[in-house]
Amino acid sequence: TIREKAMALLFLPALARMAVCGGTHGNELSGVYVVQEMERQRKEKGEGVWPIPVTTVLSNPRAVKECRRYIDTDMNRCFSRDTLSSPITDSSPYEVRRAQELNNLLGLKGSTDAIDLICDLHNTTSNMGLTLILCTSSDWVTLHICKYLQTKITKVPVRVLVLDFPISDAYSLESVSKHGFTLEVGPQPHGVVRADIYIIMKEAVDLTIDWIHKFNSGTVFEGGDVEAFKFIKSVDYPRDPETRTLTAAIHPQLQDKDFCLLKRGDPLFLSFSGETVNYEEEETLHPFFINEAAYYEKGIAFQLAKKMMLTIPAVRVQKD
Amino acid sequence: MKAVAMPTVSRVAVCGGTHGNELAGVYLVRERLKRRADGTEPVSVVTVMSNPRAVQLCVRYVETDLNRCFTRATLSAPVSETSPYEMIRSQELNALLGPKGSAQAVDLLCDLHNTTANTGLCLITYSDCDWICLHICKHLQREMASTPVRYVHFDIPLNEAYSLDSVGKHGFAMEIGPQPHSVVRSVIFSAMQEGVQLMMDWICLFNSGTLFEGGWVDVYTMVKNIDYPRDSETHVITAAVHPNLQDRDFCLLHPGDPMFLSSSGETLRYKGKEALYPFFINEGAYYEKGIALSLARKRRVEIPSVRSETLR
Repeated sequence: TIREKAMALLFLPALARMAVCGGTHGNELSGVYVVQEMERQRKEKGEGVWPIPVTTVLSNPRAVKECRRYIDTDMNRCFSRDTLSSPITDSSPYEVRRAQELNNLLGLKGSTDAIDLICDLHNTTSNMGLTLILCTSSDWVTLHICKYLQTKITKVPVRVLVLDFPISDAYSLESVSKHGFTLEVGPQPHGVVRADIYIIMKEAVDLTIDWIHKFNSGTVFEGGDVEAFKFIKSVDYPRDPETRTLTAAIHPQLQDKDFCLLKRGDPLFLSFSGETVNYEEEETLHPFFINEAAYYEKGIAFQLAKKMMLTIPAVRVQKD
Repeated sequence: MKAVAMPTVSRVAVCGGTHGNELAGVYLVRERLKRRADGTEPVSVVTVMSNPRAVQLCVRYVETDLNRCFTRATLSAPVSETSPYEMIRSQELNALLGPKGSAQAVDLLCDLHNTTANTGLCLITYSDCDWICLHICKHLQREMASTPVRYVHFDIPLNEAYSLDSVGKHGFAMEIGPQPHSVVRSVIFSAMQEGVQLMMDWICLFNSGTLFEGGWVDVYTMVKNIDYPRDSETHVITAAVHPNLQDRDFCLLHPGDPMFLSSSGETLRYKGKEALYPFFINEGAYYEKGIALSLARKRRVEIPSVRSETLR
């Protein structure tokens, strides 16, 4: 069949250069230390330290210095086309200014000059292991990288989360490059660096570089099925109607159960006065970003996803 | 040891949000304020949100760490409109709950805190012979089945004692971890609620004349702090707490044991001569204070039986 032929082997252009970005949120420290360590290695061993050209970037240096998520506004919401093209004035938020700088450095978003791959490093207080977050479910390069990481990393669960935004709406840093993904590792408190979490993130970055090198050198990566979680919706905490403060915390039976099954009747919240609130919907879904610190202000207690299978073709680098 | 008669603990303060992003205490104070006293409790309790501005912004502090503002020097320093917010606030709290060192001060001040370190529940005080605090610790240890409870002592004279709990005649920080800052975990909230309730139960029993049998309590006395390895020029941290030490609060650390793992994979070991007990291992707020972990000596302290004085 035509589909079988199309799925047989896909030739894709080589990835000339990738960017590793840390400190997009200034208090998510693994990425800051990975970038710091990579820059130290480059200084010590020269540009040939990695088998492919890698640009390392500290995305939000002011927020990193103050160990805060952001100074004026969440930088990882500043990469929409509108924000990237808005005129900069004295009163522009720091992160909007910086996003435009990064677009000049790594983009321009949507152009042929844009860097081939951005790997954006993040931490979460949620128990999400290693989660690879993709904007789209049809980028074979990033899906193959996910598949490769899933086979090579065994210390922690490696999951693929697909947001399925239309590309034109994408507002995060990794939408600047031709291919992009977020490498999210948890659980880690913000403002803290845990050695075990750092090691996982470093390994994932090293394996990503490894995949690109193998791909560029002509390796055929077999196709197959990749299990992925597709974002459905967010759920907020129960709140006091006047003050908007939380009246309940994530229930102990849901806490740390990211990507497990949530069925009708399962507990969601335990109020501070002792009442349980249950999940009342019919559809069984998978919760994630359960009790992420930075999401309290965004009105998110957890998010829900549907599990699905993505079929990806075999790929090989296009020879000139 | 002979039984000791002590004054009743008639006025108690429960404080939360001294650090605005340590949320179990914030929510516990909010809950307690919702259920206002109807005047029938046997003990007079004042519940206070210590640092409301920091709580609103969900940050540790706005200008300076409130829990370092209770030394005699800071409490008596002249304040103006340009003084740091927390300094002004510490003097307000001292007027409300103290004055520190005077007869008007509350009898017991319990200050609620969270830590990113795996400490379980700790009562942190400046005295290793405050029988009220030690008996409350013993009571919590007896009654709290699933949470380890420990007594931590900082050997600092009252004048230099810098934290809020030093304002009361008796006082301690009730510290519970691990919990990320700006997060509330249900089990941590419940443990704190239980700890506060057990403390109140003990006080009521004590005030009504119960004799509490003496015994022994393990006391961890702070000896020193250890900083992260840092780059000599930039001062940037170059290693994280070693995986073998991470989460091992109160497990004995021997000379030669791994302490740090550098970003480049090198292990750095504990060079001290004495085996000590580490705690506050990898507390997020302490990076800026230059503390990766604290080290303590443990010893068994004998405590006498106590009973409240009945005034005739």
